[in-house]
Amino acid sequence: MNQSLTTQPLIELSDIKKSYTSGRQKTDVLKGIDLKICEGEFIMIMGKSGCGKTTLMNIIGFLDKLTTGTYKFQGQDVSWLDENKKSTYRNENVGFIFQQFFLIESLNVQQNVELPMVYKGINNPTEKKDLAEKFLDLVGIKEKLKGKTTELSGGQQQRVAIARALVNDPLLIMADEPTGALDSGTGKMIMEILKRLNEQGKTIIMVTHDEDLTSYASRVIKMKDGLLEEEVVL
Amino acid sequence: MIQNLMISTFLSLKANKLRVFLTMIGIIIGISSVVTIASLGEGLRQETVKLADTTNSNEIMIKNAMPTTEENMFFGEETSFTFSRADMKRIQKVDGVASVLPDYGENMGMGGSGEMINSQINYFGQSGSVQLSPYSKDETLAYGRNISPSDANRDVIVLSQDIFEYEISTDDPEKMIGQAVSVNGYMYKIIGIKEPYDQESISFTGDDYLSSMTSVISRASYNELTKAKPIKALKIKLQESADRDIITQTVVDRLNENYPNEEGVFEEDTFNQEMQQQMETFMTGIVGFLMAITAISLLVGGIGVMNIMYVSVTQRKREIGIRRAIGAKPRNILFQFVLEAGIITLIGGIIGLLSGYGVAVIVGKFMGIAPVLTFKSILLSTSVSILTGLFFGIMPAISAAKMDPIKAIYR
Repeated sequence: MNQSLTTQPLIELSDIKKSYTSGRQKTDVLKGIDLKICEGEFIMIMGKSGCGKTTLMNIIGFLDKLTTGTYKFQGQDVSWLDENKKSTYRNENVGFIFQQFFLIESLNVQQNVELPMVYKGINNPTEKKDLAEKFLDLVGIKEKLKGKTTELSGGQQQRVAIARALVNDPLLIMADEPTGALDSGTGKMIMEILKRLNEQGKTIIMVTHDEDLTSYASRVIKMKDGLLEEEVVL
Repeated sequence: MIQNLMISTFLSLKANKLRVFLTMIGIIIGISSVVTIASLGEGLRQETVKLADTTNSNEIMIKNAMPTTEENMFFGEETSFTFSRADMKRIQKVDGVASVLPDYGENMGMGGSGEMINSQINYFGQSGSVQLSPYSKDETLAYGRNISPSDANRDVIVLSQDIFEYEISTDDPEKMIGQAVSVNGYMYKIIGIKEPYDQESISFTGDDYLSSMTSVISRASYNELTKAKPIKALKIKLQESADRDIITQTVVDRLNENYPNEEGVFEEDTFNQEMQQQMETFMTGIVGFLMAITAISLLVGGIGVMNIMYVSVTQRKREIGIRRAIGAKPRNILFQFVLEAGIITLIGGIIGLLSGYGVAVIVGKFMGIAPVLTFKSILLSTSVSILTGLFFGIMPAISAAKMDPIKAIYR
């Protein structure tokens, strides 16, 4: 993958720490993460359960707050954004793909895909529909536009979720075990879609357990006990 | 954005019909009972007002009363002055006056546009009081016949059934036909007995009520009976489109000309209007009180809304998390849930409004009241239901908006 480490990184984490306190118990989940990610990278974060990889992903994706440290996104310090700003960052810069797809059942496929645009403030129905169609076409299920999400297979649901993640043209795709709930064939298809998106320039950060998927990545980061253990550039 | 959220809200409501209905029930019952009371109350009020208005608007009562001065403790009280038949004739000639009737101070003050006097009745030792009216139209009779032109100079009477309730007891009223009864010392021949009135079919505020209780004698007999009675006031009926104030002034001026030395003043008797106003105030108070009681059910309904909205927020935690993850701001979530509660209660309110009016129509049939749904009560009930939704929906909505997106997604 073409990475130009000389240019300004998209994401720059310095000494990120995250701890949770419940009662008197303080748990350190991230114990000082330093990480730079450039545009166009396909990063896989691996590690055992509880190593902090999902927390790291949530911090990068503006879902979680960091306890100490500095987070720069496109050179801007975004360590301490308030909830509204974080929402805007998520809406415009990040597309989330989850293991369990997380489509909203009361909405149909089109409405699910249009939702990020609704929160972005796009009100023109034709514009929204065209974009929804475009991205559903990209993931190969344009014909399901009016379908109910509950009538779709897992692979189809995940593709709808990918379309939803892409619809606001984010810089970053965050994928949390996107193939975890799918059979290997369907999982491979999803990975191919992600690969294609990466080739088109999207930066992808993916959390996974599956060693077999590392071949898709440009860089694999292994975590252990809240720290980066090993980094492999492929 | 609002339009999109509205659509999204409707879809989410559509997907949870049972929950939505359960949320609505309390509001439906609450609004429904308030509307029932309000429309029955309004119906009753309008009926009273309409009746009093038709009487009061084309009728002026002129009396003679003590003048209003600072040292006069009795101002407004009636004097011993009595009007004469000649006064009546003179006033009859005033422009715009349709007719002038004597008032003997015996009317019950419940409206009643016709002439009526109270008299003593005696039937074989049983006595009591009876209200008498001159013959004006044929009555529906149980026995006997109506008064006819040939009875003009005969003392005949058509008794009302009312008499048999308190004044005269008899096993068989029919046997009384042809017998004599004494009215104010004069003997009258009973020629007919009115049909008992159907209490449910007549409005108890209407003229029907009064006329159903009066016995009828011929015009000549009536005039004879009233000839000696002092006329305490004049009941002036106006022609249509006549100016009330001008006529009142003209009549008062004429009377002043005729009685230059009269101590009391001639003025309009507003007693009926005052009574009517008092009755209206009283009724508004009663209806308001009943509405306040029924509004408690609305409060209970509102708490129900809050309860179910909380459940809904908990159940839809993940949806909230997903929406937050893809960019919904806390205020978007807040707005979504408040809007949902508002729409649910608005729909509940509309259903309640319709069913409440339906109940009022059914109940009104039994009570003899035609319920009236005013624009004010429509506006009030819909806005109260929306406000209930907003008020009781805001707490659950705040808790939804405050939810940590990560906890919401991963539960």
